[in-house]
Amino acid sequence: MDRVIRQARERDVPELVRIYNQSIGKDRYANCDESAIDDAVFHERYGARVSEVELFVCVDRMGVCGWSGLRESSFLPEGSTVRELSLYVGDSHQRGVVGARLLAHVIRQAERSDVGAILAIVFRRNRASRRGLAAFGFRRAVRLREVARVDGRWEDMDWLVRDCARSRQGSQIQSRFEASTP
Amino acid sequence: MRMTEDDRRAAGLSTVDINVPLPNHERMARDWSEPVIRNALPCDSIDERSKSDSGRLACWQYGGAILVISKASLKSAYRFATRFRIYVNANGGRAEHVSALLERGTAWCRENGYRTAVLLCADQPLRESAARRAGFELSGEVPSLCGAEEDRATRVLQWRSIGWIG
Repeated sequence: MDRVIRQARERDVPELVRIYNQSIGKDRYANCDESAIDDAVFHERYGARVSEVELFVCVDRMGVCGWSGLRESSFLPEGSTVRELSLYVGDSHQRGVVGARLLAHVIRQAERSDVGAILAIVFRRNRASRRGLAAFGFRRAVRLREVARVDGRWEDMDWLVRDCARSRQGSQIQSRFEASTP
Repeated sequence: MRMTEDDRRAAGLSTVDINVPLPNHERMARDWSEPVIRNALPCDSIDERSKSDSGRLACWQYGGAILVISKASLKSAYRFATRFRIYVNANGGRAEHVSALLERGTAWCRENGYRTAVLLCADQPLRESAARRAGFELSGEVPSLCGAEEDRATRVLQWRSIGWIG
C-alpha cells in the first residue's frame, strides 16, 4: 500500500499521541513539552473530535507515519485567519518524504480554505525544520529570545510565516513537489 | 458571557487581543475611573474562561487600562514566560496608564521568577511606545489577516529580565 494522506479519525488518536511523544526528550528540538502527553491532553489542544478539525495523517500499510494540522494560535487575536502549524513525523520515517508530503498537503488545504497565513513556531536551533519550512515558502517573522527553557538551556523560538492568501491561485512549489514524489 | 466586538465598542473598549473575555460591563464601568494600580480581586475572576486564559496569573487596573498577565503557553518549556494583554478604554486610556501597568507587570514578573513577557500590538503606537519605555523590544511582526479592509500586522514585543538567574 502506498502512503496516503487523509483526514484524521478518532481511532488514530493513540497513534498521533505516540508520534507526538517521540518528539519529546533530551536533544530533541521539536517540542516545548518536556514530558509525554496523553489522549486527554491531545484532545484539549486539538479538539474533542479530531475528525472535525484540520488534522491529517500520512498512513502506509504499517500504520500512521506522521501527522499535520492547523489550529487557531493562542498568541494571535481571535478572528485572525492565521493558523498555527503542527507537524510530527514518526522516528522511523524521519529521513523520508513523509514530513514534506504532510506539509505540502496542509498548505494546499489552507490555500483551499480561508486561511490567510500559516504560522510555524520552531526552535531557532532546529535548522532542519527551518530549512524544510523555508523550502515551502515560510519566512521568519518573529524571534523570541530565550523564551523557552529546555534541558537547562535557554532557547530562542522563531515564528515562521507562510502567506496563503497571495498563493491561493496555485502553489507551484507544492505542485512541483507532489509531481516528483511517489 | 463572552463579549462580542459590538459589546466592546459599546463599552468604549479597544483591545489589543480579544482572546480573553473581559470582566462584565457593570463592574468595569464602576471601576474604570479608579486611578490606582491594584492587584486582581476575587471579583475579577472570569467565569467562562477561554482556553487561552486558563493560565491567568495576575491582573491590574490603572485609570482607563487593564493589564492581564497569563502564562505564555501551557507547554512546560515556557514556564518562565508570560503573556501580557492590555485592554484600553478608548476614552480614558492614557499612555501613562499603560506605561505604569507594564512597569508594574514586569516588576511582578521579576518578583515571581518569570524571566520574560510577550506583548502583541496591532498598529497601536501609543501602546507600543509605552511598551518600549517599559523595556520591551520589537521581536517581529505577523499578519493579522482578520479580513478587515485595512489589514494590519500584529507587532510582537518582548521584555526580558536583566540579571535573571535561573
